[in-house]
Amino acid sequence: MRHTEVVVLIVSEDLAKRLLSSYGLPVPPGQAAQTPNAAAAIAQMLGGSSFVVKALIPVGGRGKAGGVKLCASIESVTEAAQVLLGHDLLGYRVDRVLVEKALPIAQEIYAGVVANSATNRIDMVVSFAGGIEIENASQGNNQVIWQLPVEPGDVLPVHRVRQWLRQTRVEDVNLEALASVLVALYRAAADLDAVLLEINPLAVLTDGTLALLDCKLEIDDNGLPRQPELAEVYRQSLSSRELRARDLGVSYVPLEGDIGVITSGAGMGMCTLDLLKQHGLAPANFLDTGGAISEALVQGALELIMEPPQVRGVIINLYGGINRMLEASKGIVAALHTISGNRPLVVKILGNQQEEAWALLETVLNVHVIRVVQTEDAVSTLAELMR
Amino acid sequence: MAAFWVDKSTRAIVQGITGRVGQAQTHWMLAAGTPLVAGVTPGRGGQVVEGLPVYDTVADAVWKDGANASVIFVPAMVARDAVIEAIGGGLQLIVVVTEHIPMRDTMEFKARARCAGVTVIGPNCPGLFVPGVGKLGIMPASIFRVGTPEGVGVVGRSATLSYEVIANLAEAGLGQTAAIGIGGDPVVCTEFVEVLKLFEADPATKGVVLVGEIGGSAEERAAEFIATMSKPVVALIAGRAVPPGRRFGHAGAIIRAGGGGAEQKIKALREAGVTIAETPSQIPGLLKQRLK
Repeated sequence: MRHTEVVVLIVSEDLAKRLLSSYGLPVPPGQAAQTPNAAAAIAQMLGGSSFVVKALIPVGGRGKAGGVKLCASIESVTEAAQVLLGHDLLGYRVDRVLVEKALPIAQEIYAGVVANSATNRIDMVVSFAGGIEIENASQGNNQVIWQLPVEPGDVLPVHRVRQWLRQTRVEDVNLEALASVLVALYRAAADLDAVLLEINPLAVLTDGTLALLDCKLEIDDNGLPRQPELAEVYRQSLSSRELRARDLGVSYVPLEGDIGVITSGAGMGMCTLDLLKQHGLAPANFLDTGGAISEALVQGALELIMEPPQVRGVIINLYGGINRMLEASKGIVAALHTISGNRPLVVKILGNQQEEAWALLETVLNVHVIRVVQTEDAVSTLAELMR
Repeated sequence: MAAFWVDKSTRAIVQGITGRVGQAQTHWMLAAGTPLVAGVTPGRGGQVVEGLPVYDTVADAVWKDGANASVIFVPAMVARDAVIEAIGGGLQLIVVVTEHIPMRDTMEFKARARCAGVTVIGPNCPGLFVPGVGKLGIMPASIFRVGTPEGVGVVGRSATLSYEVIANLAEAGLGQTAAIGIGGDPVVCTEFVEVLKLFEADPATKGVVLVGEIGGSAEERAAEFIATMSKPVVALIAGRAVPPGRRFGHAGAIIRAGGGGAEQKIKALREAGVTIAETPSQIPGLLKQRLK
């Protein structure tokens, strides 16, 4: 399902399933493994003779790409793990596989909880059409996607879901069991700050019970401060530069060009990138200081963006507002003490104490101060210097 | 009747007034002549900040000082509660400056504000500046050209880029009737269209500048309304050089497959009769041409 443009943490399937099982949701027995031997040991422990081995990568379309293997013996679990582990799949290296007991499926349902920014509702979505490609499910003559919009923050009572499900006129599914599963999914999505929680498929097993076979969980990163376990997982997924940026309290985006970029504010940053492109320059990275500019923050930010060796020049574009810009300029000077090389820096600083900031910076080698409002002037100065 | 939500009858409070940012911004809001009457920080009732009484609850500020508007600087994790408290207290205008509020929290207070008929601006926004009345939020007063009876309205998603646009307008001799920052998050409580309606209705506003950016579909929705407007609109869309799928500080500024790109926004705006500026400094010239 398409959803909003909010920035998300994609939770790995094994962790998502573990979190969901604490809501009483029926997830298949299973565990993650990093080696073929460990995978075999998990299969042994699970018992039975039929297993699924799944590559743990944060992207959809895994089944089609060969990342999900059905195995009829412990030996074939070992083989499947060997095939998957250490190899690239859909652009991701497979470091772990999930080994689960294979369950006998009678029918496949799609279930989702989506925070819909366009309508400002939490949509509960269900489809009985089955299959893997909900995105391509056409509305056609028969309604295939059923949607229940819920007011954000509201509790979703099971009777409301029950009533809604009756409209679908589906007969061969235990709607009472399905309603409880959907209510638990809604509650989990709310608790976990999920922007998207998708169960595809939610299987009806041959004995009529339900099981969450696959699971896609995307968490709003602004919710991480109240999700300590997920916050730790997120930290571990970051590169060392991204981690340093996060600890500084700034946002950092690595790019492919050779100009380091620092701005205060994302819109100003994007505008600066647009102007760089208009002048034939390409950014190596982009760092947004946010609103709380201090000497230490600016020093850390400049050290961070000048670290990659491909950075040949730098533009700093700050609108300080009430922040003391003399502090920012001291941060620039301090950073340049720790950085080697003669790379040009163009600095446009406006705000409280701007004159003092300009006076300090103009004494520094390789720093070019722009004293006007127009970012174009800063970019064209840098373009000249880079020639 | 206030043209832009605030006027001389506005009695605003600052929620989170004892914090570092709240306190500093209170100073600058008062310096800009803003009618602030009190502050609220739970647990700090009885203190005085910048000459304003501090209360523990919004209800106290309403009861004792007749508060009817609020600017919120509280930390992200308690912002939802602060907004809901303000809505419950009967305030009519709430500006949420706080950034990094979880999206589901914003969705919740947006829904409650709609139910209650309350205007919430933001979150993650610089608020509004109305020359002659003051400012609710953090826009620097120094960039504005004030004292002109007529002028242009500015509405933007990004704070600092809007400041650069406003400073360019002021340098070119164009005064402002109001500047309103709606915020950079994927869910904001007041959208472009609601602000554009005020500019269209305000007789002193002769033209409008819209500062948009990639991500979401707010600009496309704005274009639909602009097509019905009588006043000229010039727009700048930031992020044309931004590669898809990357986040650029604003949680809203990311292009996903099938939406949010600059080109389709520009196309929609052009078709609605908007003049598109390539750079901030082109805006005053383009607007002057349209105002002739």
